[in-house]
Amino acid sequence: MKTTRRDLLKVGLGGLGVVSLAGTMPAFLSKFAFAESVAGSKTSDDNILVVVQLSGGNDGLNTVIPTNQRDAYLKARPTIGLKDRLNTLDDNIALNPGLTPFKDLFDAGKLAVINGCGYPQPNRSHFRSMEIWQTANPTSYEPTGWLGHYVDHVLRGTEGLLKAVNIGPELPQALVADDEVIPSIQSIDDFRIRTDPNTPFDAKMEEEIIRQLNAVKNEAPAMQYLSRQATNAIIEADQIRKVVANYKPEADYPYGLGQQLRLIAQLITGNFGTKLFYCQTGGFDTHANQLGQHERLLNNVAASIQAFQKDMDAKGMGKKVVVMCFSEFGRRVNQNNSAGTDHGAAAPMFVIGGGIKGGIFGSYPSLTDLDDGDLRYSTDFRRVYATLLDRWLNADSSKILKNTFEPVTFL
Amino acid sequence: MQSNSSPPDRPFEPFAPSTSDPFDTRRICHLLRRTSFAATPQRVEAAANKSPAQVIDGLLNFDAENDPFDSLVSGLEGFVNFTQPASVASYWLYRMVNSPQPLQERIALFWHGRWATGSAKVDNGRLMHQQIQTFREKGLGSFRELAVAMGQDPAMLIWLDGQTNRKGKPNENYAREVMELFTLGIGNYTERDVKELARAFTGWRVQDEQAVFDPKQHDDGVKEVLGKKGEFDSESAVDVLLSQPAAPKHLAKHLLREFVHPEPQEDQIDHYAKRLIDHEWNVKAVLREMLASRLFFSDWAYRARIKSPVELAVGAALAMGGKVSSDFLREQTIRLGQNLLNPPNVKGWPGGYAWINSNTVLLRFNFAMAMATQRQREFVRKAALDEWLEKHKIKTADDVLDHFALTLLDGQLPSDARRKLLDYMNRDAKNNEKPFKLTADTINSKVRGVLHMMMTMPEYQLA
Repeated sequence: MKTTRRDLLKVGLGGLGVVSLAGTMPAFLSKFAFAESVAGSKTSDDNILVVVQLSGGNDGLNTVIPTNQRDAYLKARPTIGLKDRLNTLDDNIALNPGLTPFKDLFDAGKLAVINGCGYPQPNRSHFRSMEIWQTANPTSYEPTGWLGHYVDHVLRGTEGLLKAVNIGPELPQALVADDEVIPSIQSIDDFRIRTDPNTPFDAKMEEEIIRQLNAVKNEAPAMQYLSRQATNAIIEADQIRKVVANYKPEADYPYGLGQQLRLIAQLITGNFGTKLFYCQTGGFDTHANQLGQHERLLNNVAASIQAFQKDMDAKGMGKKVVVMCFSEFGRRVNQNNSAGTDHGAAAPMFVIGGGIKGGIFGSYPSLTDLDDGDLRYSTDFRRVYATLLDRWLNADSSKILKNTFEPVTFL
Repeated sequence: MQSNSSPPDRPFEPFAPSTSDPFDTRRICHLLRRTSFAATPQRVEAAANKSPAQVIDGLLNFDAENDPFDSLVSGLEGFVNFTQPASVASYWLYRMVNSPQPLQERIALFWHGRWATGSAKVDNGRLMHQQIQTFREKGLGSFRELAVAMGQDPAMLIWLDGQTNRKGKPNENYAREVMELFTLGIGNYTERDVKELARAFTGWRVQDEQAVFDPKQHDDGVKEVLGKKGEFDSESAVDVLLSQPAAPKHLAKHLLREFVHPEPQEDQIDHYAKRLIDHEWNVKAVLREMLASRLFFSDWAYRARIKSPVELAVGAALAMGGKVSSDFLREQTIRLGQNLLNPPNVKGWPGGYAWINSNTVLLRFNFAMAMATQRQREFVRKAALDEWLEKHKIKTADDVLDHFALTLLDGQLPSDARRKLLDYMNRDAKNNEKPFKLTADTINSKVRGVLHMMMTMPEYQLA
């Protein structure tokens, strides 16, 4: 007999002994109970997507090098063209020397390279192009983001604080939803009532009084709403910290992006039912002397994601989590006069995970048939979104993207 | 307050204090919170022997043309980098805390949420500053003038692509939003109106940080907008918009939401819409009536709004004497969900209940902790707190509670909360009972603790 969600809920709640909680039921408890009971289940309902945004416009041409167009490539990039230490993927393309961790993932079948991603009439403004990628709408203005649409369509009505989480100080437009504000967190420390470190002797009492001051009372609507949220938050925070305290990383996470992914791994291990995570790393606006700097940036990205995948694998979650990596645009084919590159157009995307079909997808744009000095896109980036929505997140991409897109076969 | 489930009778009449319905501390604090971020002891004291109308006039009657910070700005040369939007935002927070005309900053904040412009795209702090200055100057004046100014505002021209809106090649971005979000509301215009209106706004671009009009790029032909025909330009187009019945209702609704109640009722919207027309779109005249009304001072409106992060942070800073780093306030408001000069989109911040989820509740608690206990950098150096308590003649535990209950909670500290906080104060470091005595030690521990805990109360999150 198939166990239903409702059954699990009942069992879980009994197990947690929350029957005694009078009045309002904290929102998270159902999620908690459920998550605890179905850990390890293979339904696509518990697949997780992690979006890694490379801010500033990553130079796609020096990320995935078209070795089969070597002459045109080196002609366009006489001093910043890459010739040595390349990580060859096949007869046509190779990865930047900094991307050796990605080469390992590729060899293990866990990395999909999607070449030539972009959209019609590319915009070279950081702001506008990022807005296009985050709203999945290249033609008109959209107040909410593509992942926000997913939250509105698919997660509406589901409970719990952590259905989608942004790592960082500020919510990206991709996660702006119609009906709710997705939390942005920077550390687990955000999930506790903090007390004055200078008066530790009073901490317990202060925490207790704050709980009592926020107890739900029969008050006006706004007061009720606030105290209910606060009471839920306090209970949730206790649970989150307990669960997360048990987390042990089983990989060495690098600094920067690595630490954000480590926090995501912590939250995934806590099993709060989070479907979406979003994080970003910057510095890709490489207008000058980009060679070493770009390699270091890419290496941090690849090493961080490799550590994350390793950690997830070790925890039996390697096939439940997919990472998608994008940037708002690639850069011009010709290098500029400062040994750097200016804003361009199409560039590769990466998708990483144990549950995907690794390989090379989409054709690499020609370096000789250019569009105003830029690569012509071969794969609409929304096809990658649609693939993830339909085949990974169990959603209807035509509703969320308001258009139908042919899937890319990495899933 | 249990009895605030419905608006009062005769809601639009001026509130007339009586012995049963006095203009007391609670109501004074309500008025000050809504209009000037916080009720400081000085402000409450100054209002004590005045009538509601006198206090409201005192708040409203400032010379908007005369910027009280003009001399300061030249002195700040080198400290505020006006090219950086973050710096402009910090400067604005500084003004909110320190302005002698707080309602000027409060109304600018309202307009910033309405004509929401994002610095990430504008990418020029000076233009953002210039737009906020326009809100300061015109925010309480004629809405018509403000709407005309926004159509020619450099930051707005960049933000909603007025720059690329040219004769023969219209860009509809501004035309759509000016109807949908800024003046009429969705459903009050057609797609054809958007196209036609866009033509009226053609010809403006930004050059050397100024809006310039280029007649060659302006489409001077006849347009048909909302059933009216004419050779409309960016100024006469505003008259077409404001002649729509939806326009005064739209503004009345948003003024009510911001200053009175998050869910205004139809008759209230209709009433103040009519008053906007009667007053020829003068915002100050209508706001004066709104603030003086029985509706505003009713239990229905009291603590009905959730403070935005900026109201919360600026209010907290003011309640504690105002000696807070503006950068600290800016960082905190970003974390709480309101990055000044960077609204999430052109609709502005959703506000209301959306400010609060279990994540931001904890962040608000921890903001309270940071405000109350930072000893070096941001707030309340020991000497400042000592001096503050001395100045206000605070000695006993009850004095401490009364004082902060006044500045933080309108003097409304529920008795069970008072009992708990008193018990907290009357214990020593080993949790043994020990009557509170004001000393350097207890100021640093218990007084800060009381401040922290009061600011975590749900009452404190409400405006």
